[in-house]
Amino acid sequence: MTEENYAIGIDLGTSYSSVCIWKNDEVKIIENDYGYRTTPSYVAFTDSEILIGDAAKTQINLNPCNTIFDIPRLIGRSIYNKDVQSGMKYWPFSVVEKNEKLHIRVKYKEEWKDFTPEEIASLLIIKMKETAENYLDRQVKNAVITVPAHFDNLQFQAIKNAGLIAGLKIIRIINSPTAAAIAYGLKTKAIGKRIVLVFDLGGSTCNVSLLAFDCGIFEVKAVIGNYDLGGKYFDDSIVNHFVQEIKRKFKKSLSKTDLCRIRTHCERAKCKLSTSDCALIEIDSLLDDYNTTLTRAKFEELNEDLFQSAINLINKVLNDARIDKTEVHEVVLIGGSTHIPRIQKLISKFFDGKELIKSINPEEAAARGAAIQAAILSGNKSKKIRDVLLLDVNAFAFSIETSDGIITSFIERNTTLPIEESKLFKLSTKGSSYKDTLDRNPKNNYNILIQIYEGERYYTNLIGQFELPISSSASKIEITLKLNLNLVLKVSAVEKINGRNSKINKKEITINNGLSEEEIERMVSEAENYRTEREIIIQKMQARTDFEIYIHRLDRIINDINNMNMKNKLEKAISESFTWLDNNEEAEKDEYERKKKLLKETVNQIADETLWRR
Amino acid sequence: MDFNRQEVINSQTYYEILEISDENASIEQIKQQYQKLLLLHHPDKSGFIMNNINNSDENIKNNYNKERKVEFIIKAWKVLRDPELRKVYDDELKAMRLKQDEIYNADIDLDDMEYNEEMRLYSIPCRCSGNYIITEQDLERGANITGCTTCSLKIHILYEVIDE
Repeated sequence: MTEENYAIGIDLGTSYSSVCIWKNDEVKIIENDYGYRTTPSYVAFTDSEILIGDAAKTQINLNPCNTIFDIPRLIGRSIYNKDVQSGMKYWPFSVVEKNEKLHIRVKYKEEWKDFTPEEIASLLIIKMKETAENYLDRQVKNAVITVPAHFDNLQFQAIKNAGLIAGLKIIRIINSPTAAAIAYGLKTKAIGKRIVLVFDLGGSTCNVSLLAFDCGIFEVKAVIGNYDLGGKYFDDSIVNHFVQEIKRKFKKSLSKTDLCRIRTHCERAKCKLSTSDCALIEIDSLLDDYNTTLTRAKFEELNEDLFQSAINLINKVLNDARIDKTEVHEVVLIGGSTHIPRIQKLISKFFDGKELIKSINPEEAAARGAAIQAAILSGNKSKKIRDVLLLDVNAFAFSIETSDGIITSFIERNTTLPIEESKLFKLSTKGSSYKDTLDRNPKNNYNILIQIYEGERYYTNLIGQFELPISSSASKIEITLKLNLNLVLKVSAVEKINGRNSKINKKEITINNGLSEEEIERMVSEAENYRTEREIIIQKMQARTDFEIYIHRLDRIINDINNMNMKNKLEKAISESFTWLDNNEEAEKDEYERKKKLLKETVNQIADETLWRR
Repeated sequence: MDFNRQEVINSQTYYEILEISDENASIEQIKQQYQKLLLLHHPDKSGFIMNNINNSDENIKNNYNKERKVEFIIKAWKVLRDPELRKVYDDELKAMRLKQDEIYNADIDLDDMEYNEEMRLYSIPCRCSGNYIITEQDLERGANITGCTTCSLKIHILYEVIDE
């Protein structure tokens, strides 16, 4: 494998992200600079720098309004999206609309600044990319990325753009349960055909994939995703419960910061309830050190409806794939929230007491799958993956509306990629009223409006439209939808005269989410700036640490010096340096280096003087 | 670079797509052939995505053709793996072959036929005062032979779908 085509696998989760690579015939998960295998999907803006990951999450209580999380819920969406609206109720950061697009407003270096979700996501991607690069000690240019299963086409495009901004080519997007299934399938490698259901309950999404494994070919039968389900919503129920209780008992309303702190504690309590029956919640300096207990029974009672809808999702995916639950060979659980005992019990009960597979690490499975897919796509010749191929499906249906207001469904949900579908649309009889209602264009032709929708029945979303000029002699138009392996959707239309394709009146468009090339270019250069800024800060911290280490070392050495004169002089120099450090917490890299050099010179001078005199 | 779907379906049967000569092949044989071809032709297995970073027209076209090929391989397998669907397809195939073997009396250009927009069909009078009629739907399906409504004569309709 050459440098050029090395690809990594990134799991960009709502709560946590992780990165994996394929190395020496196996998947390796890469630890971040804190030594953790997962990195919180948090980005924070402060007066002096941008923090990403653990550094951002740990300071959230101090800086809630400028700490961004839940990016997969924002990216590629409009501010009017139902999920965005519901999230805005509790997100401490502010979401605004600018140029008809969703932006996140933060205070960075004491200035208000608006970022697109793509830019924030790109910072997370950069962090994961750097983690991999530090480990591999070389540049990485390509990545496979996993996203929640409910992502629509515009969100796919947005993730790709976020990758571009981060300097990574996203060669494939797969949804997280499907990725986990690859990891699981490769690990078990059983012979014969097996149907595997992967249930992924994460921070704020619930995704289910149903796959058929047959001799290395992993065929996705159906996928489904829901963004109203997940750990965060379980936290919500607990938070609401306690907020009501506080209101009742203390008649006090709570600030956004208080809510944020309550949420952190509730999340901890929830995790504890997976292993014990009761959890204590203690919050310092909230209403004179508020504390209370939460039992597992109460937690289950508060969330029973949500748990039930997770089961409904499994039912739905089986229906979509037309597979009976008794045909499922294995049920694999991934995602942090599948640790909840009640969920495990309900799923096992649904499958008539089937043993659930919890052997794969739920937090890492998706990234592992992404890394395997990345290795496959880079043409890795490893024996383990030589005959492995994933056949993915589209998660949403597509339909077309022509000027006469009739919606024709085109591509069904869960169709194996790649897909190309053509359909003929008959124009009404010549001279009929329908054609007269169309606008005539200057060449005395008609224009027909073609609109492309994603989704079906009650949930449809207009994702693109164009006008096709047609001559008055045309009787039909042919519309073609192409969805390739990279989930790029192209729509073309051509007029037909006497069964023949017209050479003039034809058009093809590619659906994208509206970020123009210039915008992406601008964001790329800004991301580059942030990267440089972060580097400067890292170098600065390094210089300061170097200086500190040097002083401490000196401090230890002087205890062994017998010459009092020399000792006193050195002690004076050291204490001066300590004072300077205390007063200069935000000095530049050069200053630290200069001070260190000065101290060194002083020390040498003192040594020379005392030694000469001797 | 238009790749006409009709053409592919007409010129190749699902068996031909899967390179199976025996149409009574067992499901196991078909499956093996399907898996072999899939791994051979799937763009994901060719390292194409990484090796062809430059998006030249030639590359895009190549990849597109590969994707189309794989799409048909998958389509063929999805029909042939299901015993019921396979039966329906086999019957249709048989009927189509019978149709194509027919003897016809004349070649007629589609442009010489009269188009009826109401009924979506083409027609031309026969010398027996009857009519040769072919529906648009039949043409789209690839039929090109039609009989007279009153006598036993048949005509072969000449038409082509013009591509770029």
